[in-house]
Amino acid sequence: MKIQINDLSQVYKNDFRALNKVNLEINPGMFGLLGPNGAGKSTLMRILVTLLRPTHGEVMVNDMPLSKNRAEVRSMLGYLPQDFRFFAKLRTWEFLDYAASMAGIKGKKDRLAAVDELLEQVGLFDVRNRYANKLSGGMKRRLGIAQALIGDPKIIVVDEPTTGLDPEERIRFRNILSNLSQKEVIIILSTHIVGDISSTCRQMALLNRGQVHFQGSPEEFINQSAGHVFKASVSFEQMKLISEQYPVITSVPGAGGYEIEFVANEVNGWETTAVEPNLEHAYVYFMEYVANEKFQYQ
Amino acid sequence: MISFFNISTVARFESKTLFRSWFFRIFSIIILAFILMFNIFGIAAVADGGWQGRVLPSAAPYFNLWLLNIAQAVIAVFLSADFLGRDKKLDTTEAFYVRSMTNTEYVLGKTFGVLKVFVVLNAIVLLSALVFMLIGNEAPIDWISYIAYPLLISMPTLVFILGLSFFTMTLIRNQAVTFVLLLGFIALSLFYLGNRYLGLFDVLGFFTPFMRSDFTGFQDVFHLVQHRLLYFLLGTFFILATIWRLPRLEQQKFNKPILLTGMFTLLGVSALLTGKLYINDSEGSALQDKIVALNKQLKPSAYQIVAYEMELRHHPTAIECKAEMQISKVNDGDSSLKLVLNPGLKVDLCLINAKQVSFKRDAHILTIQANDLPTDSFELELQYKGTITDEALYVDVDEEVKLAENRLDPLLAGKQYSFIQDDYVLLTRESAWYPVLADKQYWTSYPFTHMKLSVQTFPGLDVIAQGKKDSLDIASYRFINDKPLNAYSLIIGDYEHHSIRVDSVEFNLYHHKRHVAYKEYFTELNDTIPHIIKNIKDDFERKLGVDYPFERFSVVETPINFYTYIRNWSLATESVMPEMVLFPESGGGTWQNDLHSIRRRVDRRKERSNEEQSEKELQVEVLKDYLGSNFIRPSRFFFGRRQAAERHVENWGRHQVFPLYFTYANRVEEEGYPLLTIAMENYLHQRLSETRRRDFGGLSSNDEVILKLRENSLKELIEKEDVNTLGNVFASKGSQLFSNLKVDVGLTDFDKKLDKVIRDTRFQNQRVEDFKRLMSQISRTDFMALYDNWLNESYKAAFLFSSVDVFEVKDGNRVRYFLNLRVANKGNADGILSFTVREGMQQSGRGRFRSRFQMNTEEGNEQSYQLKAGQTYELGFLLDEEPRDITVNTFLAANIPSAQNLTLNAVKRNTKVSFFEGLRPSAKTLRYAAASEVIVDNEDSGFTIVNTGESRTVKDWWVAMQNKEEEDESYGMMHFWNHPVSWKPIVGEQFFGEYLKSAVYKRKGIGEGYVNWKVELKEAGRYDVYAYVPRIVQRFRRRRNSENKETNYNFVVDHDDGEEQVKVMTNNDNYGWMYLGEYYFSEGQASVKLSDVTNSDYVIADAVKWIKK
Repeated sequence: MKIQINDLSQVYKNDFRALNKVNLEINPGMFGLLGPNGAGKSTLMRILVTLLRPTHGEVMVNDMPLSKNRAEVRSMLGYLPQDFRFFAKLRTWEFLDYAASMAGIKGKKDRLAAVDELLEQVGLFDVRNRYANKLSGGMKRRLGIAQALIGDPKIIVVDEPTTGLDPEERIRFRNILSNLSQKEVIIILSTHIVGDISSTCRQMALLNRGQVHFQGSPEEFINQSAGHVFKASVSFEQMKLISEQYPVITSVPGAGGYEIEFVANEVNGWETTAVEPNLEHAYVYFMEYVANEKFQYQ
Repeated sequence: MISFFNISTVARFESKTLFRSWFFRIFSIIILAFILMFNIFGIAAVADGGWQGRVLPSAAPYFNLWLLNIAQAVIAVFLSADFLGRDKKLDTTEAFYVRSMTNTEYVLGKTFGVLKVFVVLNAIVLLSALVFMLIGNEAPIDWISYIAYPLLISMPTLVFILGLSFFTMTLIRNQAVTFVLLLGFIALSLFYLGNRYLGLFDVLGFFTPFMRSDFTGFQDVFHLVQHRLLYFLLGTFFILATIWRLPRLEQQKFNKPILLTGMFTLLGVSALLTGKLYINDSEGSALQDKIVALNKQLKPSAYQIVAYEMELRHHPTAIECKAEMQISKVNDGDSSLKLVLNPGLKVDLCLINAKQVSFKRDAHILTIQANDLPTDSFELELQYKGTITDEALYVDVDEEVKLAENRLDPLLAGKQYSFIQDDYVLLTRESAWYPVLADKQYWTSYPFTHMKLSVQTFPGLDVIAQGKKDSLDIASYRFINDKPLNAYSLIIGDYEHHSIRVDSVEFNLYHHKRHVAYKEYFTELNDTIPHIIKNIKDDFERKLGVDYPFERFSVVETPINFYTYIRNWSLATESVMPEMVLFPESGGGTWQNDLHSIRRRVDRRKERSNEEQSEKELQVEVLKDYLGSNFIRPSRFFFGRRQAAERHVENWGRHQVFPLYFTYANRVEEEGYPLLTIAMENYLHQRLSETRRRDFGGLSSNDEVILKLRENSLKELIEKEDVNTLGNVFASKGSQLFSNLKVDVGLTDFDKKLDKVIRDTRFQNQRVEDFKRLMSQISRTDFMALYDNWLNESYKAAFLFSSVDVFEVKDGNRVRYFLNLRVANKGNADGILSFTVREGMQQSGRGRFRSRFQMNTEEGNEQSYQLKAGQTYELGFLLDEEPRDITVNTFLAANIPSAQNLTLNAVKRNTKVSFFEGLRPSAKTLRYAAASEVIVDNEDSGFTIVNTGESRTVKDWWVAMQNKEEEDESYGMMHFWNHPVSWKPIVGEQFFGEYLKSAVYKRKGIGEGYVNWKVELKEAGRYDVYAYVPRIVQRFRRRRNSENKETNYNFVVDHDDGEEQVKVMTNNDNYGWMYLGEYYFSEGQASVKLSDVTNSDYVIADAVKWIKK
C-alpha cells in the first residue's frame, strides 16, 4: 500500500487557494497530518476520499491515479468526516449495518457479526438499539469511528477524530488504531492535537496555508527544534517582557514569579536552561521560526 | 456494472428512514383513514348513502387508487425533494459517499427506496378495497384491475413526480422552492390543464379514463399504456438527469456519456410517443373534417334501398360482411350512387347484378358512377372487411362535448362508440357497419328498410340483433324482420339471457354472466314479474297514448366504456336501438341503479308509514322504482352544473324507452332538419313529463329558448346558429307547434286523432305532403300556413296576469271553489297558455326520495287556452277542493320564467259571485302599471347599477372567478352560498317584471355598490314611493332561531326637499311593494337608490314605483 500525492492544488471558487502544490508520500501505518485550523487538512482529506476533485495534481494509490480509479479506491476506504453529528433516522446498529453493506459485506450473518464486533470495540454495544441521533457527542464520534473501520478498509482517513472524546475514550481510540496499524493499512489522521500524533504515528506531515512544511517521522520533526526550547524562572514583571519576545508554551506560577518554557532561535540576556523538546515544542517552534507565523499564545 | 446489492442496500435504508419520518406517517395515516372511511361507507355501504358507483366493475380499486394517487403525488414531492436536501444537511452522508458505489446505484437506490414505501401504501389501500368489496359489496371482483391499476395509475405518476422533484431539487437546490414549484405544477394540472392538449399534462391520471369493463377491459389499452408509459419514461429521464447532476464525483469513467445516451434515448422515445399521440389525434380530426366537408356536399339521393340481406362473419379483430341490397331509382336526382360505410371497413368487391363494377371511396362515402348503374332497380352486393373507425362517428357533435369526460361521479369511463373484439362486438347504426344511402343530411333521419341478417361468430357467444332469431348452426344465427326498421344494431358477447313473454311482447334481459347480484333483490318475484311489467307498460302507454310497436324488447348490458351522444334533432340516442335498450354495465354507477340503496329507501319508507308489507311487496316496489327511474321517467340527481356544452333535456334519460314508441317507429321524409318529426317527438315526450317547479330560479331551457327567439324566427336561427346549440329551440318550438294545433279541436280529441295517425303510419317513410295534409285534417286548421308561420315568423305573445281571486261558492248543494283571474295578451301574436291547478292540501311525502313511480301519482289537471293578440280575457275554474296552487305555462310567449305560480288571494267566503268555467273575453283592460303609476323595473333604461367590483379579499376574487364562468348564461340563479361581488341579474317568478321577471343581487357591502332607479316625472306633485322587495326562502340554510329574520334594505329617496334615508324591514311575511313614504317631486327627474348595506348576506334590487296622489 502506498499513497503518493503529486503537485496537488486546490483552488476554491472564491479564489481561495486551499492547497498549493502539495507533495506527499504515505506508507502503511499511521500518518499524522498536523496543521493549524484552515491549513488545508480537511481539503486534502476530502480529496483523498474522493469527495473533492483537485484543481490540479494527482493522487496515486498503489501507483493508480485516484481520479481514474475511484471505484477501487473507494472500496478500500474508511472515512470519518470532521463533522459527524446528523444522522438519518436509523438505529445505531442499523447505521453500522448500512455502512457494512456499503463496504461490501454482503452476507447478512457476516455483516451482523462485524457490526456487533465493532460496537463492542467502540463501546456502543449497550446502546445498539438507540437511534443514532440520540447518542451523546462522544458516542456519535465513536460510532463514526466504527463506521470508518467496518469492512476492513485498507485506507482509513479520519478527520479530527478525537475532538469531543474524553481522555479514556481517546486512549481507547488510539489503541484501536494502533492495533490496526499492525496490518498493511494506511491510517491518515488529521489533527491539531499534537499528542495524538506523538503517541501513535510513525510518519507525519505539517501543513500550513496549503503547503507542506515538513514531512517525516515525528522524531525528525522534534529534532528540528532541538536546542531551541528553553526553561526559565521569571518574575511577574519579566513575564510580560519575555512573552512579548518569545512564544511561551507553559507557565507555572510559583513564589514570586513563573516557571516558564518557551521556544526561541537563540536567547540573549535571559538566564535559561535548555530543554529536551517534545512534539508540541517542535510544532510551536516550527510555526514561529520556520513558517514565520506570528501566533499569539497568550 | 451495476451492483444490485448496492441499490437494494440504499433502497432498504432509504425506505426505512422514510417509514420512520413523521411527515410520511402523518400524511399516510390521514389518507389511509380517509380511504378506509370511504371504503366502509362508500364501497361497503354500511350506513346510508353508499357511493353510487360502488357496483361498477373495478370501481373499488379504481376509486381507491384515484384518491390515493392525488395524495401520494403530494407526499412524493415532499419526500423526494427531501432526499437531496437531506443529503446536504446530514454530514454523516459523506461517510457513505466515499463508499464504493456508482452514482447511478445511489440514486436508483434512493428512488427504489421511496417507491418501496409507496408500493406498501398502495398495497394497503388495495387490500382494504378488496376486503370491503368482499365484505359488503355484491359486485364481482375483477382481479386483473388490482394489478393493472397500480401499474397504470400509481407507478407512472410516482416515477414522474419523483424524477421531476429530484431533478428540480438538483437544479434549484432549495427545498422550499422545489415544493412550491412541484405542488404548483400538480395544482395546475389538476385545476387548469385537465385533459387539454391531448391530456398530456394529466400526470395524476385524474382526467384519463381508467374504468375497466368486465366485457371489454380498458378502452383502447394501447393508447392508455402509451399515455402512461410517457410519464414513466419521462420520470426515468429525470432520474437519470438527477444522476447526472448528483453532487458526488462519479465512480466510472464512462458514466456520463452512458447516462447522456440513456437520457437522450428516453427523451427521444417520449417525443416519439407524444408525436404518435399527436398524429393519431390530428389524423382523427382530419378525418372528421373531411367527413363534415363531404357531408355538406351531399345532395338528395335518387335511389332507395328496398331491402338488405346481410351476412356477417365475426373475426377476432374484424368483421367480414357481405351486404346484398335491393336498390331502386326513385327520382332523377344525382344519378351516381353514393353510400355511407364506416371508413374502417375496407370494401373488397362491389357487384351490380352479379357483375363487378368499379367504385371510389373517400372517407366514409362510397361512390359508384352513374354509367355503371342500371336505370331502374338492381341488386348491389358489397363485400367488406375491417373494423370501425370511431373517429368517423358523431362528426356533427361539438368537439367540446366530445372532450368532456364521461365522469361517473367521480371516476372516468371511456367514450367508445363501437366494439369489435374476439369476445365482444357492439355495433349501432351510427357506426355505419352496414351501408346506407348518402342522402342529404342522412344522419338526421334514416329511412325504414327491411333487413335479413345472418351472423357467424365463435362458439359460446350470444348474438343479439333486431328480428326473429333462428339458430342455423353452431355459433351461426339468422335474424328476420317482418317490419322495415330505420336502425339496426348488432351485439355479440358471452351473455346470460332471461326471457319472458308479456302480452305478445317478448322481454329479454341480457347481462354479463358475473353480474348476477341483482337477483338477490328479486327472489320472491318469479311469477309476478310479467304482471309488474305489464302494469308499468300499460301505465306508460296510457300516458303516452300509443302502444309498443315491436314484438321484442331487450335490455342488453353493454360495456361501461360505451358512450352515446344526444343530438339536437332527436331525443333518441344510440343507447336505444329498435327493440332494445343498451344499458350500461352494472347500471353505470347512478343513484337509481344501486339496488342496495333503493331497497334501503323502500324499507325506510315502510318503517315510516307503519304499513305491513310483505317481502314480496317490498321487492315489487324496488323493481318498480328501478324500472321506472331507468326506462320510464328518468330523472337525474343534479348536484353539479350541467355537463359542458351538452344539451340538457328535462325529464330525459339516455335509456328511456320513449324513442322505441316514436323515433324508431315513425318518420316523415323531410328535407333538411326533420323539424316535423322533432316537433312531434317533443310534443309526445311532454305527455310523459310532469312540469316540475324550478325552485332555484334561473332560466329553464325553455326560457333560454325564449331569449334566443326574441328577434329570430326558427328558420333564421337554423341558418344563423350552429345547429349544435339549437336542440332546446327545436324542442320548445316543436311542442309549441302541436300545442297550437290542439286548441281548436280540444285536447283529447286532437290527441286521439294524432295517436291514430302515429299508429297508422308506423314503419312507413311518410311523405311530408301527406303528413301535412293529415295534420290539417285532424286539427281542422290550415296546417301548411301554421307551419310556415311557425317556421318563418318571430312574432310572439306576451301575457299579463292579474292575481287570482278565490271564492267559496255554492253549486247546488255542494260547496265549491271558484277561481277567477284576468289575462291579457299584449304581444303581437296569438299565444297559448296552459294552467295547472292543484287542489287540496299537500300530501305527505317527506324526504328527498319520495317514490315517484307509484301508480297513484297525482295527475296534473292541465288546461290549455289560446289567447288572441291584444285581447284581455277572464278565466274561471271551478274546483271541488280549496286550491293549493295554480301554475301557468306560457310556452314561447315573451314571459320569463315561462312556468310560474300565480298569486292566490285569500279565499273569500260568503260572497255572492256569479261563477263560470273557461275563458271569456273581458272588457276590462289589464295593465302593467296604473294610470297614476310610474314603474321603473330593473329591466328598464332608468335602472343603473354601480359596482364597486373590486375584490377585496382572496375569497372575493375566487367568487368572482367562479361567477365569471357562468357569465354567458345571461340570467343566473341565486347562489345561497357564494353571493356575487358585483350586481348580477337573476330571474324567477318571485321577482317583479312586466314579462321578464328578474332582479339583480349582490352580496352585502359597505355602501359603495348601489343601484339607482331614475324616472322622468311628467307632473309635479306629491307621490307615494314604493320599492319591490321579493321574498326569498332559503332552502338550504335552516337557522332555526332566526328562520324569519328581519332583513333591512337601505333606500335613499331623492325628492325636492333633499334626500331621505329609508330603512325598510322585510321578512317572510312582509315583502312585495314596500312603502318608502310620500314625497313632493317637481316635474322632471326623480330617483331612488338602494345601497348594498344590509344586515342580510345579500341585497336584491328589483323595481320602484311612484304613485301620484
